[in-house]
Amino acid sequence: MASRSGERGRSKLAKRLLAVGLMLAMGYTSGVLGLGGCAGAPWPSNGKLPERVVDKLTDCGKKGPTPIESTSYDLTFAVHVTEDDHEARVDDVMLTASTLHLHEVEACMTDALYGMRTPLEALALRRRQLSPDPTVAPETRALLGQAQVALLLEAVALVVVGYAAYTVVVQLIVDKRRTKLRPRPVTAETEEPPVPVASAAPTAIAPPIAPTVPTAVPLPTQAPKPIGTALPMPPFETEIESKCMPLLRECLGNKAQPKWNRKDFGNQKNCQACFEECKHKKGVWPTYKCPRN
Amino acid sequence: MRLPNDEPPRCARCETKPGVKEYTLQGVTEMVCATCFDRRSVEDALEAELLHMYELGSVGKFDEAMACADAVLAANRHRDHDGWLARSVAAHHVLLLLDARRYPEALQASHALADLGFADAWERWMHALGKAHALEPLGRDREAMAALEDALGYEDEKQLPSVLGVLTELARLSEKLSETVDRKWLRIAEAVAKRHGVEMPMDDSPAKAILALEEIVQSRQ
Repeated sequence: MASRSGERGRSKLAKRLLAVGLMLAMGYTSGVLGLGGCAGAPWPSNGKLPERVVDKLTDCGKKGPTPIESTSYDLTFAVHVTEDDHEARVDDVMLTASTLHLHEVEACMTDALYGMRTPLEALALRRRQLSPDPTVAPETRALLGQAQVALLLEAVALVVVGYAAYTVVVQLIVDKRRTKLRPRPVTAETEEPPVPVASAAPTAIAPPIAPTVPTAVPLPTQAPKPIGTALPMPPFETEIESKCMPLLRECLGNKAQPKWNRKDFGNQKNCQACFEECKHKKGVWPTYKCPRN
Repeated sequence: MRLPNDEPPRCARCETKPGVKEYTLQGVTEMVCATCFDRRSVEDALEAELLHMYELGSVGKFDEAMACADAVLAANRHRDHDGWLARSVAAHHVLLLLDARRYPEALQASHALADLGFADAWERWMHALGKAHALEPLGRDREAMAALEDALGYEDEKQLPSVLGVLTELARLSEKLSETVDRKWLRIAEAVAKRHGVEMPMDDSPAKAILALEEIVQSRQ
């Protein structure tokens, strides 16, 4: 159903933008315009769709009605992105709500969102991810099949064509297919000397077994560990990572240094330095300079 | 309203130069000098990508993660007046390579970080930890200990609690090698204990005393 009130439409948009802004302010990191994001994607600003996609949506809007007074339409799409070790792609685009009821325009916009199929754009979306939304219904998560992590981002685009204003809301759901494995209890991976296990079958990454023949040269007390490139096992999410990453998110979400700590550490927490220290100190967060408040 | 003769406010960061630029983050606006504005901007630029970088790392895309950090540096080098961003990016290279278990490269990255110099003792401590974490899996434990001891020669009262990580690593390695930690480092451990408001544990072995202190401090957090 089309709303005849442009004011109402603007109010809705404002609420949407406010919601996105609040979510971003509540502890989620986001890209910073013009500061040199690593993906290099042309991403205009937080919570907005890429310019190229907005241009396509605008073209779609031109296929719609040409009202003679301000008219607003709201369309909501659910966009599923699948990401694995090699690529990220838009898997599915579903129109979940619309006040337009004009199939041609809706289908055109669906296609435009399908167009975000390049890994670059999908990753650009992903890296502005929000944490799993607690409001996502379990049944929605069930739709994600084998997804191990479902992340939700809401992006909003306002497309204006003449007197017609389209508020396009995109709810991005990232289906992160992990191929990584949990760390295996392999002695070569630990920092402690490997414990010999008599019955253990030799593996590709097992440390060399010292000969038991008598020798005048003292045997090393520590079995040498493989030297060279990475060990032949998949990357892993360490316990350290799982401790430090949530704390980093928390820190970035509240960068203001408490007043009592500003004299020594300034007005803002240096979250990246605290994260660095947390990693080096195996999961111990330096609360004295990045207090958890 | 400020009168024309009013002095501009002091920079909210360095408190020395006049605050001439508005800097806003998470709804808080403060006036900072041009230099501090740039510093804040490069910090924001790196932090905006930090989660992304380590998420890439968590799925094995370590080279992409490092390229990401490099891209931030390339885009912001012109305002990295004190080299903070370059050092931070180099430090993340070390961390990412350690995560990737590419220890020889991590060691090289650690040398590259040292070549950039250190702004303070804390940076030296973190560098030493990274270097030690790269050396140990290569079987170069004694060099790792030497790197840690070298860093302990630098002090920073303000960031004193962070030095406990260096002491702990030193103690752990010395236990591993059945070597004795030089008692002179107990002075730093005692200062850390005092800072945390706890008693310094007593033990004939300095390493054991340091490890006990670490345990006490952790149990309080």
